[in-house]
Amino acid sequence: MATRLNFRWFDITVGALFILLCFLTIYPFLYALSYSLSNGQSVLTQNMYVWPIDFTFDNYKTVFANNSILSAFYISVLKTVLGTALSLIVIATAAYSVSKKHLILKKSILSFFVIPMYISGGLLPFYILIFNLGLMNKFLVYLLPGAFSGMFMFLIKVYYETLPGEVEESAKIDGAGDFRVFASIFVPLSFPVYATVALFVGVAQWNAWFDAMLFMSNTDLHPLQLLLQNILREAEVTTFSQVAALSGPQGIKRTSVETLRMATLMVTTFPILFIYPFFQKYFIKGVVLGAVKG
Amino acid sequence: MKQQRAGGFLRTLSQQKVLLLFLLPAMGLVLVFNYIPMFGLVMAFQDYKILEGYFHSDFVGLANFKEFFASPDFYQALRNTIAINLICLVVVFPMPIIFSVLLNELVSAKLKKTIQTITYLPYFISWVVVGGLFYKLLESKSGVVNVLLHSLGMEDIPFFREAQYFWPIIIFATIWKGIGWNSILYLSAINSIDPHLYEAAEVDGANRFQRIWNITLPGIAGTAVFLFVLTVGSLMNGSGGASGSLAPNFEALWNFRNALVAGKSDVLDIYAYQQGVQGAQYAYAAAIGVFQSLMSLVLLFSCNFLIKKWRGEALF
Repeated sequence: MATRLNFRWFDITVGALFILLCFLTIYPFLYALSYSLSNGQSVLTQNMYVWPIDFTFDNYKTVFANNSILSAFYISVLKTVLGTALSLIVIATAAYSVSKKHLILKKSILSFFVIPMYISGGLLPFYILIFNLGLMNKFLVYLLPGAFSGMFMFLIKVYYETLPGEVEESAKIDGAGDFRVFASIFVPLSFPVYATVALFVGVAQWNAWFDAMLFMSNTDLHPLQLLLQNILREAEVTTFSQVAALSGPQGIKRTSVETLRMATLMVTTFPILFIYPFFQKYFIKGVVLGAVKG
Repeated sequence: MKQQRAGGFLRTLSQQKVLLLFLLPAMGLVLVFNYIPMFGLVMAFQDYKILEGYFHSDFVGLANFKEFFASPDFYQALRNTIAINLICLVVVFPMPIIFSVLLNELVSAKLKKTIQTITYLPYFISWVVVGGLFYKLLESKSGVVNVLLHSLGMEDIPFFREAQYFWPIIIFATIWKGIGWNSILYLSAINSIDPHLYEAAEVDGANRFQRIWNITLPGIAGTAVFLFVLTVGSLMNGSGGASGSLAPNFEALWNFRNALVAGKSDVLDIYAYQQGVQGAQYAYAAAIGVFQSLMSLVLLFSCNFLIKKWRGEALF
């Protein structure tokens, strides 16, 4: 009897802990969302906990009317799409070659890819390199340096190696070259692993800001994350208060710098929140596979 | 004979031209963006001038290293790096283990799935956004945490204005962002434990804690050791542990720091960034990078050595 009671208490405690954890995970997003849907003036004088105060879309209207936010959004979308496509092409083709047993100099080529996964030159030599390559202030700086990833190449390689070899052999006997085999046999069969890699690369591209902070002094090419960082900190507040002032020419002003900040933060987060539930299984499959191999 | 072999090599080369063509972009990118910076570390031993480059800058031996060893700012950054990472090793590292062991105790598969879906989410949110959320919630006076404190009759806590709160905040944020995601490997290790072990233990009358202690924990010990060695190896260079979120990296600290808390927040990575990039002291910062890499290697190998002595096997 005593032990059974013990068990029940254990279950209740564990359940309560997980509910608390889930609440702590969700609440910050919920708070920011509600805040961004609140009247910017009312929320300064009343305490908001869960629901918006004086519900309004004005903050979002102001954010989407702001040219620098729109252009940063566009830059982020562009670099995410192009960066993901480029990475997939570079990584999927290289993975095809290293998955072949008969590849010439295979050992040396594999070591060539493995060494940089453990050793790096660090920030400063990298910074100097980008400078010397003339990539400063070029859009390409978002795409090229991170286009390849050894980890994802090995992930795709492992996947290719699980594909049945017979189809490939018979295609080869029929005279198909490596290019044909890759394009018409491997690519159509590898959608799940491509999805995993594309999602990781895409999320990393969308979330990246440090490359822009290092290499992009031209603010016209700043991605949304870096603009958000500036808006959350002091730098961008002046332009924002102008926006806020302009947004309510007649009548009552219903935005404030604080609610506009949270609206921008939510706009930056929405794309991730939208794709996340649909692609969760790909995310998890990727990390488990990668760890087994690594 | 030799000619024949050379001929064979060339023939293979031409047979595999598509394979080699496929490798070309990847190898080119790795050569340029990974290998050249490794050789670029030579700048740490130079009086590096960006316009003169590696080939025309003067070599100065260990002068850059002597300079930062003489700087009090360096020691503050070193202290912060060691302190934050040590606390993380003790506090953050076990969290995903506790998380996955307790999750495994839940009966409902649907509930498990929901908890996983929710707690993995923060991993995919950028540190810029996470920083923004924490600043908002922990704001002095109007932040919801302080509002709650006020309503309980407690004093306002100036979270981001006094340096003493910085370490607890950043460690909480690191747990918040990574606890779910970092448990994935442990959960997959638990899933691969033979279910018969649990059944047999139950028949033998083992209670829940005995089952956790004798079956679940030994089942994930290998994964834990693997992650522990990798985490220790990345402590000094701020790359934040094996899966990127067991200790705060540069991106995390940069979005949580401000001038008021700099004394506690500015680790070696931030110090090197400020000196090197913002202050254009390239060689000085590169030397700090070399120091960090060396320390990482020492930590990695000694941790691996100790664990090998203790368990008989380790990472390598």
